[in-house]
Amino acid sequence: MGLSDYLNTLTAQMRCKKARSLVAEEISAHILDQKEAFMAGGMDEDAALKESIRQMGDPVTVGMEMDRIHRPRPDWKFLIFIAVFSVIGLFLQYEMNQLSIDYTYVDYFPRHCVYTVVGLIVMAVLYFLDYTIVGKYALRFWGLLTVYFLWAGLFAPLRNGSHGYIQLTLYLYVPVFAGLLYRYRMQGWRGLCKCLLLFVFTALLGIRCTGLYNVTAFLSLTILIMITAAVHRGWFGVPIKRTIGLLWAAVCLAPILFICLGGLAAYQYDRLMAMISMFSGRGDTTFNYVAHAAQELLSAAKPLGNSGSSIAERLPYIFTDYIFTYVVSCYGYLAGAAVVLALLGGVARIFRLSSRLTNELGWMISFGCGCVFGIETLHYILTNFGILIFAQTYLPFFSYGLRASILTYSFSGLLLSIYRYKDVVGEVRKFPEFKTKVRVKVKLEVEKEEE
Amino acid sequence: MAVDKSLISGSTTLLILKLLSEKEMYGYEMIDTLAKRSENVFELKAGTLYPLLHTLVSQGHLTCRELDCSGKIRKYYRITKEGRRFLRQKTEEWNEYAGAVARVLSFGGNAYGTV
Repeated sequence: MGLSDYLNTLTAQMRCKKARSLVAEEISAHILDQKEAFMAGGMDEDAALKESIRQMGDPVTVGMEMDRIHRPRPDWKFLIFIAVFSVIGLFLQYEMNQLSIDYTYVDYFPRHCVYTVVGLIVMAVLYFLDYTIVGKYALRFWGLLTVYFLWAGLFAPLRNGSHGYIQLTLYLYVPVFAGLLYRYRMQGWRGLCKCLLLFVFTALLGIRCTGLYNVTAFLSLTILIMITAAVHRGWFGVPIKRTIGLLWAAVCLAPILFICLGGLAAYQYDRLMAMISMFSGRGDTTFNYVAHAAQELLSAAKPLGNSGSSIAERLPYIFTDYIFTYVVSCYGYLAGAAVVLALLGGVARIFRLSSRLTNELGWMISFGCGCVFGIETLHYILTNFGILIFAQTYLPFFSYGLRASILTYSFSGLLLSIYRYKDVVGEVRKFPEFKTKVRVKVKLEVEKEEE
Repeated sequence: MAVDKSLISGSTTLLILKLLSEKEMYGYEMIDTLAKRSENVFELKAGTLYPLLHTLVSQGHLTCRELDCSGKIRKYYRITKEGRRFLRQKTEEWNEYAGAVARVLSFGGNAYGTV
């Protein structure tokens, strides 16, 4: 039996076609290594190849073993997590709707149910879709999103003087940037510069089209963390410490320069001052009314049970921006802590699972989605405590709104797809042609062996 | 000396994890190192090794990456923190098992020896 016959027989036992190339390449490399060792020992090429294949073992048995390992597997724990949080989210939205209907005069709950169903459909589609298309068509996806935001910036109706209502959609750039970083890896400085240019353009577009800063700021932070992670992992083959240092020095200097050169409007400057006054403890209670109201409601909470405060009367948009305050106020601070800890536990699990992924694209998408969920959860809690005063916050799985629902469930669908195909997708971490410490170490070891 | 294969198969995971706890290696290197260190007692078949490596990667005990080594792209395996914990647990189990076998064997020897 020749090498190709052996590999064909072996891979034919594997039902998952995507995993076949992953296994075939490795087995083939092993047989060729073994053949070279036999030839070095004095065997002729044909005999060496035959003996190497014989020593490999029965191709059917090996193929069946590989079939058992390399097949799509749903991540049941994450699916259960999504189901539980969706149900809790629906329950809380129903309760908040009952509480605030006297003030808003709108029954939001039926709409929230429709948005959740739309989100679940998006999740199901992404779950069964091969997530590697994000890497394959990254530039096209980036172009589509950019056209959408340009269109929205020019033609979409304004609400409260801005397009702030579309800003959560900006987070869809996160998986797209994972794809772009993946696409331009191995291109050295050129690849890194392309990613940075696309990032700067995206950030400016985000501010220009939404008219608000907060999601653009957190999106920028997420993408910068992703670029840092890619550089740290050796994707671009540039000096790691120096590049990361330069990148973050530029990141810290940019907003200072922006403010010093008069980039902030007078009302934005006032907002910044209001935030600083909160930190310094000299907060003007009329200036930061909402933040102070939230703080008072939180401090009046019991360990368990309703504190009796009239939350719907005192806070606006509790079903989007103050769900945590609502939970603490109506169910006790232990319930609030449980919800936050469970959400942060979910984020920690996303990072833990990402670190196990051998597929580079899957790792970067999962890492980026984890960053968004983590940053937004922390931002939400800090806003509820009155520490940050950005308007329009988002709590994954809980916040009301079509875009919030689509964001939560599209990321969940992508994560589920990545974990489902983690033993299948045929690509592992590659190192480009440059001198990383590891490569130099390997080279030295080879040279030692040759000596 | 020929050793019963069932004795080896039970400890293959332990041996592989032990090798990888020292440095990252590719498949052929593992088989070669294992054979040399055990003076050819452990002649592991590649057909056994690769499914085992892929299982350990899937379980999170190992990670892998491709490295260019003198013009050849090789898939290197590295032990993870979880893998190290698993190795400690397996080593303890093995020591307990080996100690128990040794005690039984030595007990039998002493008993007959003293009659």
